[in-house]
Amino acid sequence: MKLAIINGSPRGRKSNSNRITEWMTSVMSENTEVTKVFAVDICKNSTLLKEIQGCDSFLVIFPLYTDAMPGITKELMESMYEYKNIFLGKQIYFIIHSGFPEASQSIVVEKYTKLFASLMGMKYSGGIRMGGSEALQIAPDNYFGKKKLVYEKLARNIENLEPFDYEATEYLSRTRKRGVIVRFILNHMNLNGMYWDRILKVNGVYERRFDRPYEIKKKD
Amino acid sequence: MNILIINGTPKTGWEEYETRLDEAVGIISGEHDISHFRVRDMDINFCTGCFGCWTKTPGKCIYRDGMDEILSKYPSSDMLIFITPLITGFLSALTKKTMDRMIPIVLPYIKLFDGECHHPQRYENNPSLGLILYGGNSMDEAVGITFDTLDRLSLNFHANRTFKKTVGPEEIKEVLIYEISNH
Repeated sequence: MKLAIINGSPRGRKSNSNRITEWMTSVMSENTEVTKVFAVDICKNSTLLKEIQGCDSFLVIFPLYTDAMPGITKELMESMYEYKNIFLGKQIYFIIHSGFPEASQSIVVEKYTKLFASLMGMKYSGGIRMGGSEALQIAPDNYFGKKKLVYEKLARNIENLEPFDYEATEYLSRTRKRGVIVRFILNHMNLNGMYWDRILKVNGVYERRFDRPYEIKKKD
Repeated sequence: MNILIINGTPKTGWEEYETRLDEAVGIISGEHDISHFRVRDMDINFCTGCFGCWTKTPGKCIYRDGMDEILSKYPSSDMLIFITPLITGFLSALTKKTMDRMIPIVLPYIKLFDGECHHPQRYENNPSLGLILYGGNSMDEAVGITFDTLDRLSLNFHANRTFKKTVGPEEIKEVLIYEISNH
């Protein structure tokens, strides 16, 4: 089986998207031939898409940027449409992940991925929308425990040319309800702020964190 | 009123729309201050997701390119209008890359707004948000999804009002004048 992994992340090989797909490819059998292509390369040379001609399945993965796919991913999709014949009738899977904790923030773009598959004449075989993915930049594998195992299960779905498992999809794509304590922490304890403040201090710009560089100063 | 128009129309295929838009902007400019940016004619890089605009040069991207000019208009804008045709059933890549590069207008922190996490505003100003789609029918699935995306964006940009319209070339002037006068 030949699988193409199409990585739409602007961060390319250092992306959270790449880390997720590495979890998946690490459990795939030797009979699965994987080719990875990256939007960061295709936006410079769309003929690179010819490298994935002849693949049986396509996995497209990207992060949520300003409520949809990143601009570079959209450019990739427009290039894919120009090379529609490579993809016609093939299976396509999507993984969308976002820094926001709520997977529900990706519902609209998930709908678009289904429409895109249809416009491409491809067989939509499943989609994941996962929240809280920015932790992938810093946390070790064991932090993700069950999520990593579930991605491995999805990898086997792809190898078997079958749709993503329903329960696995639901597990990764659900928006977890917040209890009173979590809501209180989010509203009042600034834990998220501590993360950003630490980076701002390391970079020596903490005092400038609220800067408004484009604001026109009013004269007194 | 200060109106910021971000036009993500590609170079070819939409000439009649673009001519009509120029006519409409010319008329409206008599009464309002219009900043009309055609992204296709500008040097604008894709967002690389480095978060430098939050953590290294707060409020400003690490790239010095056409976005400086666009973002310099944002704090004084009353309306921000995106204009784009549907390309593969969605906002053009030109439009989307410009939206991505607007994240310096919010802060990195996350707060709950109506129970959902969003970034607080960097500027006090929160212009209303508009989307004009060249072509398309409001009953199309692609239009519905694209309109819903603008609704999502309005939450993250804290827009106080939104409008979304599909237009034929002959409707552009009428729609722009109507939406601006109803601001």
